[in-house]
Amino acid sequence: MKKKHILIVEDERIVSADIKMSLQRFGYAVSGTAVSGEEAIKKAEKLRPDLVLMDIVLKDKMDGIEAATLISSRFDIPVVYLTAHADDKTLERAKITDPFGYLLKPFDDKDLHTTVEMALYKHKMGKNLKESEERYRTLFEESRDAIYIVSQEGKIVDFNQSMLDLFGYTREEMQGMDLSKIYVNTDDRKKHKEKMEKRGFVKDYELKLHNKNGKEMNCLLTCAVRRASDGNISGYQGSIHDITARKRAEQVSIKAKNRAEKALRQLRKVQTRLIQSERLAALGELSAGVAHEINNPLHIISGHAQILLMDGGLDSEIEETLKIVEKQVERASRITDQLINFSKRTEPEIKELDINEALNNTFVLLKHQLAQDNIKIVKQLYSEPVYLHADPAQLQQVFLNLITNASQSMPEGGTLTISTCVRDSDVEINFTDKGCGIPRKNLNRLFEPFFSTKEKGAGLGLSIIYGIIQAHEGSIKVKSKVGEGTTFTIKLPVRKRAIK
Amino acid sequence: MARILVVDDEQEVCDMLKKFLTKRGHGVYTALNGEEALSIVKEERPHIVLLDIRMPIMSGMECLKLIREIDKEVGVIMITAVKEEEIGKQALELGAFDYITKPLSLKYLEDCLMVKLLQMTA
Repeated sequence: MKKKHILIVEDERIVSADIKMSLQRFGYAVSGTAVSGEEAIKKAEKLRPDLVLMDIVLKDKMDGIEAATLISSRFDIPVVYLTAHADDKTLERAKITDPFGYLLKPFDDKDLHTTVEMALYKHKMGKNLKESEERYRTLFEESRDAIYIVSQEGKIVDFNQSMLDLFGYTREEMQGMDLSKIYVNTDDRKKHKEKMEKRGFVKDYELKLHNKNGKEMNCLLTCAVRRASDGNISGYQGSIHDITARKRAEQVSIKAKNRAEKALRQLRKVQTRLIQSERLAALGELSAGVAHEINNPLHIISGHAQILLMDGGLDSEIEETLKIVEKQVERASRITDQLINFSKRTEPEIKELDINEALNNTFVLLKHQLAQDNIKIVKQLYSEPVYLHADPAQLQQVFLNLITNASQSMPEGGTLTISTCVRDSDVEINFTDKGCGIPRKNLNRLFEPFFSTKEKGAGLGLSIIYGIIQAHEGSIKVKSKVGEGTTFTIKLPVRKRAIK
Repeated sequence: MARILVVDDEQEVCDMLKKFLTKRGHGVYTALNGEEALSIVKEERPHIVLLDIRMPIMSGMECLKLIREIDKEVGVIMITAVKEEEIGKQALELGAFDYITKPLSLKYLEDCLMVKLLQMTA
């Protein structure tokens, strides 16, 4: 270990030499001796000893206390006083200089050794403490988070530069300021204070704070209780992390995510619709094939029945039976006709027509039937004529089927609202009933041929409608809630009216 | 009374029509495809051809064209499996006398034959 260097300031040379010898015996190096205050200061500056042994009473005008004050403040060198007589006044003066020890003359070697060691140790500790304080002060000052210490009453007693930067106050304004001034919601403070007093700290407590200009910020507060040596709360220390930007970025990303999810949902919906329409198209093909295949045997059965009937002279029971056969063949053949309709084999006969007029024509046809069934039609038609290119007979079939379905869903009677409106280049026709509604599981299969929940009926009505609307380059959709009602929405492209 | 050729790819259909027409006193030939039908038209010169539209290999429409090339006078009645206005119209344009949808009404067929035969003898 490096020898500790000591400067001896003593105007009596014999004493000085004696001390020097003692020190050297204990393993210290004596870097020099001085006899006056001025000399002491010069040598302290030049030699930079680890300790100064300072006689208080010196012959010169500058006494030891004065010299020690200068040495310890200028060069940060610990001083131990040597004194023979200590009157209270002198001791009082010496005390102020914060000396590292006193040696009362006469002292023995042991006293000298102990006092010097203690002084060196105290100084080293003090230095360490100062250094560590400086280190923490630097951390505190340079932290990008705002850090503060408040008294128990909530007055700000210490804070760093980030605290000033974040809240926009001057150093003078912030010193002693009530911390509640930075809260948007003073309730927040109460809440986290309660928590903190129970647990001793809060971590990443999210809250809104505002700066001097009232600008709100999203912040995370981490805060801990400070306790005095008696264990009572003396105040609080906290750090504030501004997450406004992060929050905004989060919101942006949430928004983007939502948008992406929405797009995905739409895509799935379209996909479902595509699959559904693919399936319906495939079913259409199949139906047409089946219809053809069935028509031939029907043709043969009915032919034979007709031959027998035409010949006459049959037993009346046989004749009756053959007539039933004929009738049922006719029925089967009507079904195959409808199947072929659904498969769009029948091209629409396109004419220019006004959708409102077409609807009104249908209402006229159904007037008596609807009155009988206690169905009230509420019309909300577009204020002007809307022209389409469509097959009037086929559209009428669509309207008739939808209105009949709606009225069947309201066996006790009710209101059926029919509206038309123009959206972009389409006309939308809505049929809304307050009927029994369609269970979710049935919605997807609604347009399939032979899908029926009615006791009577082949289950072709809606599939024919689907086929017709497809042939008109339109679309049909259904929304329904059990017990609330059903809305069918047909979209058909609007045509500019031909100039005649 | 008249020589009638029935063309349908299904034997049972041919049989049924043959039975009916024979009972009505007509001479009936049957053919299961277009090619057979053409050779009968060439050799037997029937007055009337009942011709199915939907047939494999040679369709009824094709067959109709070729029959008309052989014999401009023969009365061709097209029989379609399903009501297809467009095809019916085409058939008439190609010189068919009428077209009837399956399952056909024999009464209608009888009337139709009568009209055509009267036209031909007039």
